Amino acid sequence: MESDGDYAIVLEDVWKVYKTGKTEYPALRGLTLSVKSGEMVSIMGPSGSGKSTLLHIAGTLDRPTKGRVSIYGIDTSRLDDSKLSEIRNRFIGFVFQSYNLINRLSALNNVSLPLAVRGVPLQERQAAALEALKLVGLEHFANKKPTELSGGEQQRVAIARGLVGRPRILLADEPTGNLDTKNAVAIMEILRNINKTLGTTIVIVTHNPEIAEKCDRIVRLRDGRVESEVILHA
Amino acid sequence: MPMLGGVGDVNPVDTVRYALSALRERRGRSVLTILGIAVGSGLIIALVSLGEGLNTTITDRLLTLGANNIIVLPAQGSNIQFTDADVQKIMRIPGVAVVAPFYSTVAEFQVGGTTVSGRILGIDPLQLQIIFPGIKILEGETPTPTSATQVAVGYKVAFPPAAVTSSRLYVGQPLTIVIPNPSGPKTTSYTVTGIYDKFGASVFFDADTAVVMPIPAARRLLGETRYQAILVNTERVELVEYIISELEAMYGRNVNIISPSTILSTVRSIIASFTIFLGIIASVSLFVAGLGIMNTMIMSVMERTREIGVLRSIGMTRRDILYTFLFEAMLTGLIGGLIGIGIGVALSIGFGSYSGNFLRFGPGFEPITIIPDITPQLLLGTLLFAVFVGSLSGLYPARRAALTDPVRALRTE
Repeated sequence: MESDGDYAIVLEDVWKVYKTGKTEYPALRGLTLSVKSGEMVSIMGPSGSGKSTLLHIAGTLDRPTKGRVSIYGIDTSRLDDSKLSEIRNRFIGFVFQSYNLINRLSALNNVSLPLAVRGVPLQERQAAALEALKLVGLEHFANKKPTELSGGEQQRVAIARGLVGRPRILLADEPTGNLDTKNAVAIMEILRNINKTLGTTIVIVTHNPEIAEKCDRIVRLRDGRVESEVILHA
Repeated sequence: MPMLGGVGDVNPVDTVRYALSALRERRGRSVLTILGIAVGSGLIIALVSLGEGLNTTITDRLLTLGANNIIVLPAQGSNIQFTDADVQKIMRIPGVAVVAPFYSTVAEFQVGGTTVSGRILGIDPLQLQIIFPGIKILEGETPTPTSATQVAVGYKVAFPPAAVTSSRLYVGQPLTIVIPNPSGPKTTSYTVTGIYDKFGASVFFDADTAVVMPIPAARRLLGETRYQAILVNTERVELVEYIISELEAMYGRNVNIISPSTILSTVRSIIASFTIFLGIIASVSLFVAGLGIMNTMIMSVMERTREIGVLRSIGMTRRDILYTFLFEAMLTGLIGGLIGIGIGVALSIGFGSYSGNFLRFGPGFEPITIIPDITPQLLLGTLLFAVFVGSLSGLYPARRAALTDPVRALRTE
């Protein structure tokens, strides 16, 4: 029998209800999903189907209204802000559609930020950041500011930031949404490569079927539940 | 299963670096808020140090009259007349060291073809020496107490301002004294036996433009045997109050009693309250500058909502966010306070050295220069206050930042 520990992410009957005034809007309605360690999964579905909410809850940025969330066997429901932050710092890397780099910091300092939060000494974390930039092929842009980089390059820096702490899970919310096809393909290749060489579990929310097809499994959401799943690579 | 625990706290150096990068990013606004704090703390330092300096200056000036001296004058409208009997009576009060009756009147002194205006002080020159040890003979010697013809002159009488005349008075020379009189000025000549050294401005009379003559000489000049006033010198400053009460019991409303030490305590308390008052106003200006910090911090938190989301996503706790923003505000206060120290010191020294141009003191209108009392405690205290105001102003914005929902923050455009 498999235990939660074999899974990177386990969501069990997860509900998320947003309240605005008196109206309640359930973004997730009893969603159940497990992601194996080392798996690369894409989440698809129409707008409002709960893709981003799923990603935020799996990334411990948000708490479910109901249901169980487990990250590598750790039940997150009883953890306080500081423990959840620690899980994010150690286990999870985020990549966002709009890159979300801090413009006043150089690429290198953006990438090394998660290690600064961890309290890693300057030299050590800059070396690690440079290593992460190498993974995305941007080591020569280390001292550039995000505003001096193209969209594709900024997203690669963001991926490097997501990877620098050697997280076991990378959660990407529409990572190619703002990019042209050529750059989108390049980003996907990088993610696929990371998944293969580092064994990082990757969950990608996407609208783009071409992106989704590069993953091991496609999970389709509708109305806050898993509608269907397709396994592409075992 | 991986164990949790061991995420190190953010290194303080990194917090400083991060805060500085944020301040640098909104350079214009940072400079203005920092300037506000700098002006506020500079004002506190300048006003308090100048107030303290003024206090010291006035105290010094008042103490030239001697803190343990009491002057007894006939009250206005009273026809009391001081005689040697009064001197004897006052001498019997316990704690009284010297009783020096004296005459004092305005006069003009003719020196080297010019006229110096000043005052005659008819007093026993030896008693004067005891009561005011600060008055020293520069040339010659004090007149004999029993002499009716000898005088000693103040520094400015012997050395009139160079702009007026190049000549001076020498020991042994005669001095012509002119007393204004309803029936026409009265001119008398005396022999100068001594010249006093510079004394500086004092409260009641200007020793530098005075001519001191023994009692017999004053009686001859004024044709008056009753004394105009009596100077009482006490053994100790603490006895002043008691002796004043004895004198009041003796003379009632017939006399005015003046004592530098009681004036001093009044003047000092006035200056001290004034300094506190100015300090409070300056502190208010610092608090207003704190509102400026709060304003820019709130704007900054709003503008950096996404950044907050990112920081949370990479593992910063709410507490980390709170500290990050709080530290930015504190740093604004610190930098402002440091610049404020510079401004404050420059202001106090500048104003202090300029103060002689418009601050005059005593009957001689001597310019007085305030030496600002800039203490390390004042500087450090003001700096800490600026840091405190900065932190206080950052508290609300930082709390707002910390409580920002990361999911919403990341969605913000």
